[in-house]
Amino acid sequence: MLIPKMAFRNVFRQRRRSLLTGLTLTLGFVFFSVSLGLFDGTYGRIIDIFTKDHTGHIQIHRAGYLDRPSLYKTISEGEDLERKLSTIPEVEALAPRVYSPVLAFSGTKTTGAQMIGVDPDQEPKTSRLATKVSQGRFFSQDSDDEIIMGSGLAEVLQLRLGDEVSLITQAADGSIANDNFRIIGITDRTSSTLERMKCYLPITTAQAFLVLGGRIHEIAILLHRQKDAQRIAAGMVDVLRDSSLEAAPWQIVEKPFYDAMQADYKGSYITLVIIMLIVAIGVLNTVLMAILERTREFGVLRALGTRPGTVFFLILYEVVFLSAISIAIAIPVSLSANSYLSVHGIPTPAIEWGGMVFDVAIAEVTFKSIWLPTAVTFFTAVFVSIFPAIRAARVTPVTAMRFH
Amino acid sequence: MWHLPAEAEEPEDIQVVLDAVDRLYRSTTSYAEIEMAVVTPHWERVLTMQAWTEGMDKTFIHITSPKKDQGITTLRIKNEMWNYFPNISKVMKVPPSMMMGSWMGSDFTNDDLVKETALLDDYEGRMVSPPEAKPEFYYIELTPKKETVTVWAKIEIIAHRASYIPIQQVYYDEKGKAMRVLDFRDIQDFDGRKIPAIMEMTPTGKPGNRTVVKYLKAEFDRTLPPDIFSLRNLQKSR
Repeated sequence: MLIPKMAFRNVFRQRRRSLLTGLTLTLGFVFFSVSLGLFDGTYGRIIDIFTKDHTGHIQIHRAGYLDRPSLYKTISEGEDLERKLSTIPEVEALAPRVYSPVLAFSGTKTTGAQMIGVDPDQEPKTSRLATKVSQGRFFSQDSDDEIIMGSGLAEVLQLRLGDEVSLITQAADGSIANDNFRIIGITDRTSSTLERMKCYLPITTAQAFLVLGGRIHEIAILLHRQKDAQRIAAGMVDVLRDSSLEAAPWQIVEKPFYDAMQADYKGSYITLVIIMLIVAIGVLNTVLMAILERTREFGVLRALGTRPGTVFFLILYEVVFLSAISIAIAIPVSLSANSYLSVHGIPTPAIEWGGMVFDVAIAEVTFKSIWLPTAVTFFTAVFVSIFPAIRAARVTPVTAMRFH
Repeated sequence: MWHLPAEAEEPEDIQVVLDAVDRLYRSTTSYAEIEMAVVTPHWERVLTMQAWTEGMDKTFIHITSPKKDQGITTLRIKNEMWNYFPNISKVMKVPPSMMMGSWMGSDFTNDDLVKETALLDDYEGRMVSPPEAKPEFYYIELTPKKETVTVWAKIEIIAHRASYIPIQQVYYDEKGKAMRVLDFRDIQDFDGRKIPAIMEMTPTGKPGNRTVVKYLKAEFDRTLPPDIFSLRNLQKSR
């Protein structure tokens, strides 16, 4: 018990040295922790923005629809299912949808487009479609002939708000579906090129147009937290299998996006490793100096008969205590920094990516942003101390006492 | 009947056969009443229609049943095609990008209607003798001419030697895969001409899909109503 007690007292005895080393450890910790918070926060935000755009966090389809979409792969009794799904506590909102390729034409211009039938009440709660309508308005109630056009589609057909457009396609009963619609809204131009060639109808209008009866193609589910998606989707498998339906989390629905995010995230590990190295070098620097400065002191100890092993462990214990104190101070500092940044963020130059604009880096308070820096700081401090501690322990007393 | 000896495979004979196939259902003018049955795994429908043609370039089709599709009309002049939908009172020109799309939900494409008379002009033919060849038939392999724009890298035609009436056409893509088979059968007398009353198109890649076109009536070289091949006529309600 002598050594730890001595070590503990030593830490406070050498106030300036300890403060310097401790500061390096604390700052290194906070820097690393905030970096982690910002990384996770930024990725989390990108995922949030992306999934809230249209996909949602989980999508339900007839088995096989995701692999090969077809007008005929439908969900019957969607309303029953929706009711059941809303009882899941993690679910924030859900929206039924209908999809069909159509020919859109007006005057002499004809073009292919994708038509999506959306629920005027549920869709705004589940995706950002309503906010993307930059001209005109979103559907207010199921009106038979209202249509919202993507800006690209409107451009190709040279149509404006209030104009009439005709849609033609093959209905589910084989007949030729054809009808005229009035453009009540046009979506904004920042969406991706694909997005802009879509047009939207109220879902009941779309169902009548396609002779689908009450059938739908998709239920999009928004959760409170995107992180729950895979777990909740897996939990639905048994319930849905009976009706030959399947639930897919966004990681599967938007696999290319997910893969790209994963690759990017893994790439950021390199940045984190570099940050870790920088912190480690800072710690090495101060700890090394601290030990070298005390060479004389260790020489005296050895001359008095202290065994090398004792000196070694003395130094090590000092580092352990100092680290523990520094980390204990650093944790609340990091937590508040990450908390603050999770609300206010750091303004960055605006980047446009996938049709969305990012101009602020948001942090996220995570368990990882605490335990990882703790482990790294602590083990780095101890590790970098080992070699200097060995050297200090084996020094010959005479040489050491002459050192200055 | 004049029978060609089996060895005679001069190009003129091929031209004659192709021309005959092109003109199978046409003349200076023609009028026909047709029933088209479309079968898919999800639904079956029967459309009835009236079709007028003039020469090789003009076709006008008017759907008479079922009620949902009644009044839809299609006009084709040379390489251009328009559809009219009475429900919405709109004429739609079929753009080149939609040419390979299905006509009225059937297994025939818009392109088929536009190019139905183009074998002679657009393709080069040569006689072949496949192992299963029967002596009463010609077996002709067609490949597109250099300037021809088409998705069919090869068409094989089997036709009666005696009458040049086709019994089968097989369409191949550029990879040499047979994509669809058109069978002709039930040769009947229509207004003095012997023509297969039934054409059946079967896509190879879609099991459960086929379209059967049945000629109920055909008249040739009568005087047709004036201005029938016009956009104005397309929109006239009947």
